[in-house]
Amino acid sequence: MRAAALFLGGLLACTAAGAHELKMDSQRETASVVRLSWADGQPFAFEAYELYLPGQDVPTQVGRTDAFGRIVFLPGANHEWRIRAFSADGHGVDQLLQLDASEGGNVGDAAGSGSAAGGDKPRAWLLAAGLGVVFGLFGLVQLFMRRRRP
Amino acid sequence: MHIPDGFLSPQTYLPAWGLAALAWAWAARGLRASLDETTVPRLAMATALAYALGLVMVPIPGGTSGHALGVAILALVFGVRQAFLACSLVLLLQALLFGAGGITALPVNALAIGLCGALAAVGARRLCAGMGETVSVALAAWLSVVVSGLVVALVLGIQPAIAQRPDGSPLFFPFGLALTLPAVLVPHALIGVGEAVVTVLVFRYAKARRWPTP
Repeated sequence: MRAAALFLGGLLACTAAGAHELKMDSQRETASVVRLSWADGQPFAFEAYELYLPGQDVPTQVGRTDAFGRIVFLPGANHEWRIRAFSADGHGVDQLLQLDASEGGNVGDAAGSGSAAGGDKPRAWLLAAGLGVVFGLFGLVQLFMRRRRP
Repeated sequence: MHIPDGFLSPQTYLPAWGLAALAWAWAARGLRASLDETTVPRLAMATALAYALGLVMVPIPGGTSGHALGVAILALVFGVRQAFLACSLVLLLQALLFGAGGITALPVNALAIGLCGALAAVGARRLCAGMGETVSVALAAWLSVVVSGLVVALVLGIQPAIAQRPDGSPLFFPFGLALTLPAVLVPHALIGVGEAVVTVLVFRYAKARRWPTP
């Protein structure tokens, strides 16, 4: 009787221990890759990032970019993600990422950059546009001052 | 150094907008009296230089990169008020065109770089006037970068304490002062050396052409 009770107790302990084991399975999915880089092309490497589904405050994925400034994630059927990446010196991005829909709602590659504005335009063009605004504004000030002078 | 959108809590940038509005009004007051037909083109050139300097990224050891600010040039040649306004314009353009710095964070960036940087430059130049022109201008430029960096690091570093999720994790910028202070100040101590060289060259150019300096 005592032996049976010990056996039963041992069996129950095994069942409880079994509840702590981790199950693992693997499957093939299409991943999306976002690459973050500085303006000079250097990778935004080993920096913290967070990925959010739209409207959510809790990140779906957190981690660090790899040595090439890449974030690899599985977007599933969601084509819109919010990405936040930070370096301790205050650089980074916080922007929405629109992924291309392909292969029945899954996604292919998506590329990001470290700058939130003017991403597709040549840098020289943006530089010239900014200089144009500066000289244009000061030109107006100069004109205004001349007209005010008697 | 430019803080992007999404890094600062509303508790930070909303009061900063109010403070910056007051500072912009103060800077604009008396501006007409301080400008004439000869200073406007010079100020335009210096503003364009600051805008361009802010876009030249220099790799810094440690995997990050930095750029000069140009605020010391503006402050030492034209004065604090003009420097603050010109820097604010530069920061606005860099944010709109390049995404370098955010619109919500614009007042913090403007106050840190345009106002604190300019005040530090002018203050250091006056304090160190006895050391000679080159040394005092160089020190003023170096200090303008470091002081701007210090303000940015402080503002960023207090974000985890200001806004948190229910589980206590930071809602905005995630790193505290222990990380932001060395991460911002060490690279900017190096950037300050480059800023000092550029500022001394421009200041000498201005003096050689007898530009009136404050």
